[in-house]
Amino acid sequence: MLGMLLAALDATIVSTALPTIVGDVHGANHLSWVRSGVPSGLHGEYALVGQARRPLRSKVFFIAAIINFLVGSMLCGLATNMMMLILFRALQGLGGGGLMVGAQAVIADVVPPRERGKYSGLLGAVFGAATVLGPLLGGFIVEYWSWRWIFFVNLPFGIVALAVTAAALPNAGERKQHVIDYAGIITLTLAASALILFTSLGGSSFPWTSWKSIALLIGGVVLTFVFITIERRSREPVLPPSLFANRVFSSASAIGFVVGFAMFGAMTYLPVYFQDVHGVSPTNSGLRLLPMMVGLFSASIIVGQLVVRGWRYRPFPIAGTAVMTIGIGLLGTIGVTTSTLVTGAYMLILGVGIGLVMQILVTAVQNAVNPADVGAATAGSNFFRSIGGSFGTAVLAPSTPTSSRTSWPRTSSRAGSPVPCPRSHTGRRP
Amino acid sequence: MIRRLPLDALSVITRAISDSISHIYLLAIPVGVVAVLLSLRLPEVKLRTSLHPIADEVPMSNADPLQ
Repeated sequence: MLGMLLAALDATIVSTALPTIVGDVHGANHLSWVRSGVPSGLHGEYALVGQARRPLRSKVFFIAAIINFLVGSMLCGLATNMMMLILFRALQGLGGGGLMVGAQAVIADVVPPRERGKYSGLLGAVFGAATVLGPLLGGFIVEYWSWRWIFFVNLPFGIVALAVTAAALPNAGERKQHVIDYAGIITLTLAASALILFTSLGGSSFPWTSWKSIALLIGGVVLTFVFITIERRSREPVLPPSLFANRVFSSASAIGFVVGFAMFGAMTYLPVYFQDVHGVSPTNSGLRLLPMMVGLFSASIIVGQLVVRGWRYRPFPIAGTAVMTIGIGLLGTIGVTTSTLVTGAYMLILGVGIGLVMQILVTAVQNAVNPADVGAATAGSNFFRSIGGSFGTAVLAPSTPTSSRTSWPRTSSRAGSPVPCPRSHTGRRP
Repeated sequence: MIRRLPLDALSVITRAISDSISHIYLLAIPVGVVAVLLSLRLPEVKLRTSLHPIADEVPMSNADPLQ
């Protein structure tokens, strides 16, 4: 729970601070990359988790993930330019991914699937609590201290998590000789990173038709094929191809990808909306996200409890994705004059939708696969949701310049004042 | 910085940012619909009640548990 709290807190604490951070390091065009830096690091870690859990005991694995996360956090706080920040966020994400997937896989080790809904619901609630606390804490820190403390603040939390893990987590799991699929992990991480870079930087840092864009696209596709070939030949593949023959895993992964795409794409820009359009402080923008977190928190716990009491799990992802789509559609109607109450109601609906679908998919996947592959299946499931989130954040990015010390890309003013020309969703500026 | 701009520029900017962000959600609607359609394909498999599966309760391979 502590590990999940730590990783989820960091994924959300940055959201309200992003406008200030990108203004300070002069990188408004790469806002989505700071947000997706952690998920991009998570991709590699998710790949690694399924493998590393095999030879390593859960406790050792967890401690290594926390240390990795703490080092990444410290370096992020010391970053002096955008490139450093993005790289260190990716490094931080390596640890965060280990904590997130490790927490779910440890539960799978000790709790049977029928009972697991209760705990996965609690994990979802912890994630929800972190998403409430994160933006608030982030806003407060940025407003009263410095954005760097958003990363430094992880250090005391991490040290507590380290102490608790060392003292309380039992040494579950057995030691066996395993082969780590390094080639698979590296090609998967590189393929995902190339494709995300293509969607993130293409059309903003360089044109879609430039050699850089085309090289990233071709590189990503080729590396994906190389990865598939490696996995087919590997003795212990990082993402066993046999998992995709399982309809529960393949369906849940596809749903996770699409939900991540819509969810992270939608969540990232709400603080920007509140701060730049409504002119509220970072702390206030965090407060305004509360309805979404309340919805997510409640729905996640309720679903977990219902499944433990014998309810079928299948209706929840269907209802959840439908409610989520309604929430997204309603948010599509917000404008300059939309009241906080109305926006809050829309966010509550979005949060309920996400809460209905997010954690139950993990339980469904863990239940349906060979118990020996629970780690790889959990990691794979998280991988697809995370990579969907990275694509969503990048593809849906409006590249709108945000407040505070940001240089505008172009000026066109009747009154002689700089007026930004936000890039349209097609990637072209009007 | 935005808030320090003249009122007419501020109005243009906030409207542009607002429109740009609301477009994100409109673009995400089809993605949400795809998620609903994919959810309809998710099979229901009875949840196991034990950590140590018995033969008739859980597939011992990753083959489709419905087959």
